[in-house]
Amino acid sequence: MEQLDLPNERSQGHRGVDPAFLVWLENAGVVVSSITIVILAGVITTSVVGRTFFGSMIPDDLVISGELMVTLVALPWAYITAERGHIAVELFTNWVSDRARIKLDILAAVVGLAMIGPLTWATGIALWQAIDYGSYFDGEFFLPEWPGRSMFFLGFFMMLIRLFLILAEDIARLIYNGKTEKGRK
Amino acid sequence: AKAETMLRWSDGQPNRGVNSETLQWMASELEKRSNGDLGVEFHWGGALFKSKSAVKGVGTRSADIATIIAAYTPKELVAYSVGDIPLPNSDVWVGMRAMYELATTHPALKKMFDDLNLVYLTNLSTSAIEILCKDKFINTLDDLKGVKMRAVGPYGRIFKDLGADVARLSQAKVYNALDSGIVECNQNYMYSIEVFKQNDVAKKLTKLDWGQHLAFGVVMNKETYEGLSDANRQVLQEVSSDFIDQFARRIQEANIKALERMTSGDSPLEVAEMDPNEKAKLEKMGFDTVPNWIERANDAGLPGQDIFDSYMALVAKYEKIRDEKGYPWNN
Amino acid sequence: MDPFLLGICGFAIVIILLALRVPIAFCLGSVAVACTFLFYAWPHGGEFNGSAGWRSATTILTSNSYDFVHSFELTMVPLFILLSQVAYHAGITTDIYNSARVWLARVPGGLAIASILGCGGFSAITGSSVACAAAMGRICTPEMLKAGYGQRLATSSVAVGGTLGSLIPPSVPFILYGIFTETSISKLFLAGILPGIISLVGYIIVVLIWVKMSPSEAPQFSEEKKPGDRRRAALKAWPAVLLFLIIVVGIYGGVFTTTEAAGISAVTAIFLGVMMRRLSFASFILSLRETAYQTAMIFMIVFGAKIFVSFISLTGVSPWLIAQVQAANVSDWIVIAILCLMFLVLGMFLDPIGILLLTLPVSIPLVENMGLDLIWFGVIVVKLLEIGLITPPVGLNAFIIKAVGGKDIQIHSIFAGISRFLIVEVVILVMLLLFPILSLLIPNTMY
Ligand code: NA
Ligand code: NA
Repeated sequence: MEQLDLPNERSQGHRGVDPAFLVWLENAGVVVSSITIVILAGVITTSVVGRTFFGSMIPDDLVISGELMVTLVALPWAYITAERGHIAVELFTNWVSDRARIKLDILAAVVGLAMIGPLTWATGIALWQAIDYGSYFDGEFFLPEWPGRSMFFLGFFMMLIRLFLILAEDIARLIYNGKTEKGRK
Repeated sequence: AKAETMLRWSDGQPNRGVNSETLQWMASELEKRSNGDLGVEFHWGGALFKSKSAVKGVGTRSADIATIIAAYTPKELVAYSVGDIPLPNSDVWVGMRAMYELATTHPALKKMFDDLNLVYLTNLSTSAIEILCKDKFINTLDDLKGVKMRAVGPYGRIFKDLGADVARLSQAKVYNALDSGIVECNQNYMYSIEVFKQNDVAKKLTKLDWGQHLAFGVVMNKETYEGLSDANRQVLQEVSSDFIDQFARRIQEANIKALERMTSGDSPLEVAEMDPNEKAKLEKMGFDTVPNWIERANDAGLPGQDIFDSYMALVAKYEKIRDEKGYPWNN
Repeated sequence: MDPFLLGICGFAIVIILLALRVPIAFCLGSVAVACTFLFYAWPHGGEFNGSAGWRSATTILTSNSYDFVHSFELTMVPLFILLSQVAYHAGITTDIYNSARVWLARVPGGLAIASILGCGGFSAITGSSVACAAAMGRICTPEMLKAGYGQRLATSSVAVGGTLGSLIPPSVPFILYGIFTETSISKLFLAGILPGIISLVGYIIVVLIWVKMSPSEAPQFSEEKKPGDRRRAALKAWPAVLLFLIIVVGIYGGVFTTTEAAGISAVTAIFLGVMMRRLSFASFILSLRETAYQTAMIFMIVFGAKIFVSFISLTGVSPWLIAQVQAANVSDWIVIAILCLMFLVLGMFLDPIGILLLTLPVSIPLVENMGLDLIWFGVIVVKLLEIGLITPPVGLNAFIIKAVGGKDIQIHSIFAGISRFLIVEVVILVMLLLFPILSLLIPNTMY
């Protein structure tokens, strides 16, 4: 599981077609996710300290933790995708030509779209239903479901757009035979 | 021989204990009474989808049948969550019969299930709520003050209002929590205390016999239901109704046997009951939450007061039947 | 379509796509989405109905992504990753290594042993094998090469040492196993300690024998030493010791749960880093970004695997497999051997969490039916997953050492070094299988 801390791997990744707003949004996704982690650690620590020393705790902390989890997990996806940072098995394809490599990149983007497209749609429907029903969580304040579901949908939606851009870029690279490589670092 | 109609049945729990045994009884009765027309394929432990998604999962026919829990979808099932109001209604058979009749006859509940693309089949219960503690009994409401306690749902909120320090843990983690002292007490049900071996680490049982969680149900996808033959729908309804008698009998027996086993042996459980005056106060606090529920139901555009009154009338009706005729399995 | 055929096709396509360098998450996820859709849209012996199939598939997709991750228990994954990042950036992990290094200067192969011990210490805090390999690989391997160590020993000792991360608590695979099988996570953590120590000792023995047989692999280490160096080095490791104590005492002293321990220890590590002026604001931000990045990446793979697991559940392959093994009426030991083989084969290709989610629904009912101890089996599973991290062709730890070690390091020399450790891994695995007491001694004593 834990494909952690891969600095070289990361720098091999390159950004392709880069609309400035999308780049900004993707980076904002990582920033918001980072802030969410701090809030999560804070909520749990406050809850334990409050319970141990003051006999009180944050109401609905379980629901809040769940909302923070979906947010922090979903928002960095587009950024990772833009950096081509998703883990893949490279051993069997190390020997292939540059052109074949581009074809494999196109395959990866297409397969990615086949996963992320339906998930974006499904989480979008779920968000719409949660708003339509006015769904809420059981607990002290009956907190609404839509905030977490929005963040989750947003994470998939941004990743979907980035996957389309990557696919377009790779097809262009294939057609122009590697002449659009200026995006590479 | 392969059944004519295979029903895909999803349950969030692993296949052990009274719940799954009685659900499997229901499956085998369906097959038997339909002469093999209706078969069931279980997916336990939320392998297909989690309990949180059960309403949607059956509505969209990801599964044909599933167990629903109102606490996971409180808005969608608000009318049905009347069964979770903390009331001194701890008789499993009476409670289940009342919920069953309410869900199958009250127009607001029928419309609710219909809107969710569901057909209501039958229901489940946790059985009466008890309190297990490491080293104290809860004789009075004051005994709850400052107690580190694992509790859930509307009953848990009342314990919290009474000054208990409520921690939220899954029942599976309570053993460790009691042992290490993260919690001193646990809200649980008799058979379930033994299932999770909590009597190993906590020895004082306050036999509260307060109300039960009744807002559990078994539902079927509407198109699946409409696709069945008239004869098979008849079978389904009969088996669903019989399920209540089966389940109530089995869970009561399981509770009695669990108490017998836990109070005998080398290191027996000590049992006490709450002071009756204090318990009356507790029950009053439960009744005081009724207006909140009615308000929540009204907010959802439902006749909250009417649903509640109908439910109470049905509880009274089945208490009377029980008192006059006894439980059906004793006749 | 025949669900069983669909299941087998799905698995084959996943393997082909994996080999074609498609990201693991996409391989599992896309095949699962397509097959789930087909399963519902085209029921066995029925007619094709696309819109109904799609409607049914949506619940599977949202439940196995959103519902799964909307969880308090899973918050410990990002929080333990945050702890490891902060501990690394504040130099807390380097201190453990330095301390071990100074103390073991005279032992043959001392630096390699120090690296393995350093990994044990790191993993004790972070619970992540790959994080351990990444961090310690950056610290130890260059130092060993500088001291004239052979490339095979300098790389493989860190790759292998990194596998201690999941056996010694805390450990993410144990957490997921515990959630999946509804066994006590605290007991699983305790059960991992002794097997972790046995593995550690096993690796050290391999290093000692290896250096004895070819002394040129590890030239005797000579470093100018001042009096008090040892004491100073040991004392410098106090923040790591403190973090470990907070986790252990907090969990077993009844102050907080394992999930809460993740949050508390992460906050404590940040606090220590700031107080010691070793965690700059910039490196704190970097820790957070890395945590966000890694958590998101991990869960993308987990979603793919979860949806895939749901699809496998739909096909009914698991009950079929259980029925086959039960009908074969072979002895329990052969069943366990088949399961171990399955884990080892999958471990050659797949990531540990993917394997966990794919195989537990099949293997756990089997193990339960045999009346075997689920805690013990959890240790076996985690040990097998750890071995999978270092076996070719897909040994994640080996690739990480290569990634952080630079282009002079050859991947085949890492695997060549690892092959020496694999012998002892098999011996340890057989010991754990034959003597469940090795896993159960500590949890049984504590409970
Ligand atoms: Na660990
Ligand atoms: Na491997």
